[in-house]
Amino acid sequence: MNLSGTKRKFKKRYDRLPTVLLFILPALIPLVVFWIYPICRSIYLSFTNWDFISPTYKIVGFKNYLSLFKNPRFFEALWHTVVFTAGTLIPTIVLGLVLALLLVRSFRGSGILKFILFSPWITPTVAISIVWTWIFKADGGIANTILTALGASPLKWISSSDTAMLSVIIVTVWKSLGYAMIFYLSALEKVPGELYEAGALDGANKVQQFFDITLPSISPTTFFLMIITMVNSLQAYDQIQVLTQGGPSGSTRTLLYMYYQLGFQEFNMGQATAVAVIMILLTVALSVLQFKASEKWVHY
Amino acid sequence: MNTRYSDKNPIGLRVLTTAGKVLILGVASVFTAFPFLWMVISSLKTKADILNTDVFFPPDPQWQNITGILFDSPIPRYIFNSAWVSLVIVAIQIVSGAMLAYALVFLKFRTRKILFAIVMATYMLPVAATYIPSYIILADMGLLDSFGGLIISSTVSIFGIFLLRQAFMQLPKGLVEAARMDGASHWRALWGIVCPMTKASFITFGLMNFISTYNNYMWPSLITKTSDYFLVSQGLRAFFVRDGAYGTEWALVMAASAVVVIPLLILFAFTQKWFINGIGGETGMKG
Amino acid sequence: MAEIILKNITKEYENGFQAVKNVNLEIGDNEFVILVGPSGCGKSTTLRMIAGLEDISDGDLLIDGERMNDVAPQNRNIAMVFQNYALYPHMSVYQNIAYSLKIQKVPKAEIDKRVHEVAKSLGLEELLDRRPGQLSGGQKQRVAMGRAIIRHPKVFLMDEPLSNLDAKLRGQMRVEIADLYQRLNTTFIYVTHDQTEAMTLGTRIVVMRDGEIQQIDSPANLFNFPCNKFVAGFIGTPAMNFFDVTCEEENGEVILRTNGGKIRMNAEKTQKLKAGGWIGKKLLAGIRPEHVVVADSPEKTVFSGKVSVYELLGSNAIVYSDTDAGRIIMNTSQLEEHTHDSDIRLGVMEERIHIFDPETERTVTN
Repeated sequence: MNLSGTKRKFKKRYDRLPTVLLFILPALIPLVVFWIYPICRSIYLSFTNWDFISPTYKIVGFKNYLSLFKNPRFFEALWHTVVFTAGTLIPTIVLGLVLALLLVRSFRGSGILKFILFSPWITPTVAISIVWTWIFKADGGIANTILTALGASPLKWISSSDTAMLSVIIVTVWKSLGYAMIFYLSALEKVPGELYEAGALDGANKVQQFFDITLPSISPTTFFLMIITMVNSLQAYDQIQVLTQGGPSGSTRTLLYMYYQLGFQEFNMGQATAVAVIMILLTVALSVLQFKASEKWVHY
Repeated sequence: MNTRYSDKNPIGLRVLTTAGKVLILGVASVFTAFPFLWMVISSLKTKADILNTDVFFPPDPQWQNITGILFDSPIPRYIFNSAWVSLVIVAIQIVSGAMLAYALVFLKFRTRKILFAIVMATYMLPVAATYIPSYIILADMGLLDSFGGLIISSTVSIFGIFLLRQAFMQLPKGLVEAARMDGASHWRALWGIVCPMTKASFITFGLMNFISTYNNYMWPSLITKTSDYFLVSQGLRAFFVRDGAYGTEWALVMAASAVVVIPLLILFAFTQKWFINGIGGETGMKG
Repeated sequence: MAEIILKNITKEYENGFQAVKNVNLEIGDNEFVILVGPSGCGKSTTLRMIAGLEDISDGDLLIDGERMNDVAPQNRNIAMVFQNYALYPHMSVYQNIAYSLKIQKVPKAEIDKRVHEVAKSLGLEELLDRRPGQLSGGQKQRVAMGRAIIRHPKVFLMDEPLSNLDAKLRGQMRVEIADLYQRLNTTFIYVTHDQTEAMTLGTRIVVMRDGEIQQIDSPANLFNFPCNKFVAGFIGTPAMNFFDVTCEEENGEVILRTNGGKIRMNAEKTQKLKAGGWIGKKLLAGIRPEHVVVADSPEKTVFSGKVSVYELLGSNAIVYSDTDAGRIIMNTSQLEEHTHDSDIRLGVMEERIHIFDPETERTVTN
């Protein structure tokens, strides 16, 4: 009796197993092979001195990390990443919200404006970066023609280390602005109209309604966009590769680009994976920060 | 809701705010659309006109720049590669992603929460961190520089799993139970009941991932070296560096870019609402 | 403490649809007026026009003699409780209640004092630090009322405030609103589609349909003297039974003949029917289920048929019968069971019969 009970329980627990496996394995196998294992492998490799060519390598402990921390190039790249992230994040979110506020009530032509503003997001970054390279051309580029026409002095854009980062930021904001706008549009549409009516009855004017009702109501979207933009900035490669290849003189070399150069140009796999691990840690830290912040600031 | 109490501003103020609104939207859309326009305008110029800053519109449109790219360059081949590779990848991603999302929402097993936590943890991680080991795996499998390698390394979409899980969770609770009582297998319940009811999310998933796979650059450029296997971004960049020779053939480079970009803009024009609804609506607005 | 007058108020949307048609209504100080009607009848639109949330297309809105059509909502000195409460989700209960005072720049100490007073009167003291997301439906409802009370408004507007609560809580909150009205001594305007709420809360009820006022009266008068078939059918549960009759004169007596019997008219009704020239004509009659009885003799039988459903509700029972005059519902306190398909003969309390013009559906006599 007792035995058969156990048996039945055992059967009950495991007779669904084939179905479950059938449903999860098609996604789980590639997830493990091309995501989870490589991440773990990267962490492991960051403690070795592997050079990609030689068949053997040694565990060297924290040597890769220590030499990174001694390398001014690394801190330069870290700083460029911070500048690039902040420089992309703030205009994308602020302008995205402004555009969404202007477009949230539809009017004649608002559909076409949304189409235009969102269209850069679906085009290949490589293609549009090539176009921007042409626009930014120091002599004969249309950007300088426009600057001159407006009475300003022309810039050297991507060919000077002073303005290269600015150029990359402009292209990135240009591409991601519509994306932020669409998120904000849907968030704004979801704010219940009754809240504004209650606000009006409570005596709040338009400005007070914006700060006391609109902004808090869309704060989950703001936090989501902040984290997405940060993660995207951390991973930006295409536009840097086409526009500047990290130059001139390393002025647009971000952590990711440094990882690419270390790994796929210099074949210093130990240091490259160490940079990758630092990027993972940064992402985790950002996520935790966002989670903590949203607990405090985001309310439903 | 027809609330118009807000419109009781004095006329002058209203004109002023409308003017500001038009100004901001005008500047923003010109800034956004200009690179596309400039690309097309430049692609129709001669080698001489394109470097002459006084010439804005091409006096004599060089249509052969475009036809040259279309019929006498590797660009169409890259577009074809990108298109079919992306289609195959997205088809696999949809099937496997839908099955995993179904399991996460409707099947009961003890490791479900752990599985979801693992998927969730990978969502935000920088994909580039996987590239070196993934490269080695593909090398060991002999799949570097092949369509097989491109496809097999991209068969899972974590974004898609999230999107579908979110949509599945909004379905009525008893739905799958009812289908099961009616004798449907889980496979039938997924494709016969759940999928039609969350069609919008499936379409969004397909379109978004098609576009991002189609446009993908860094990973394909790391694992393919032969131009036969280039996807469009890598091919275009190669064309830009090699044939465009950095600054001598700008008109041809712009023509190539236009040939790559314009079909995508047309595709987007017809599918706009799926992107917009998908992004704003269901892409998991969980803080 | 206000008197509200609606003069020829009309709401017309841009597509030409008239949601409210030429409404005239005078609401006196301290009245509890209910706007009731089926969905789409214009009751909410009327309320929202009083609040200033909706423009008035035509007509005048006067509060205490002052024309309010173009006054912004916040300057009308009114408070409103919304159907979905419309609590600010990111603010605590305290901040929700205090918000309007904060906007008015009332000193902090004063705000604090008033919030605690209001919270105490509504039993919200324990909840002041919570956010709306952490509250039950009834608690949210109280917060919404607290937010309205704290401003000492001249007029209290409520838009279906109980429709999101379950039946039990609805009954409880109904009593709390009645109690609040007694304590506050101010004018209430309350929109609902639920006629039980209307009958129990209101001092006066405005029945609306398709943007037009059908009848304005006290609950008892609406029940006993409906002005047309719509009001008669809308007020009361289960709804009034309607059936076709012919008005005849028999042995010097005016009667209404049904398929299976006759109903004798008293002197007052006889006089009205004669004066209206209804003798020999077809009429529509109505009788409330409470006024249907089991016929104890053949001459008292008005309807005969078979029992369809018998519902025992405890202190009373509802019997649905299919008769020669159609489906007739009886609400009786005599609890002997009527089994399905058993024969039944029903009579009516003759003085409680309502008679309507079959063309215009207006009341001929109640």
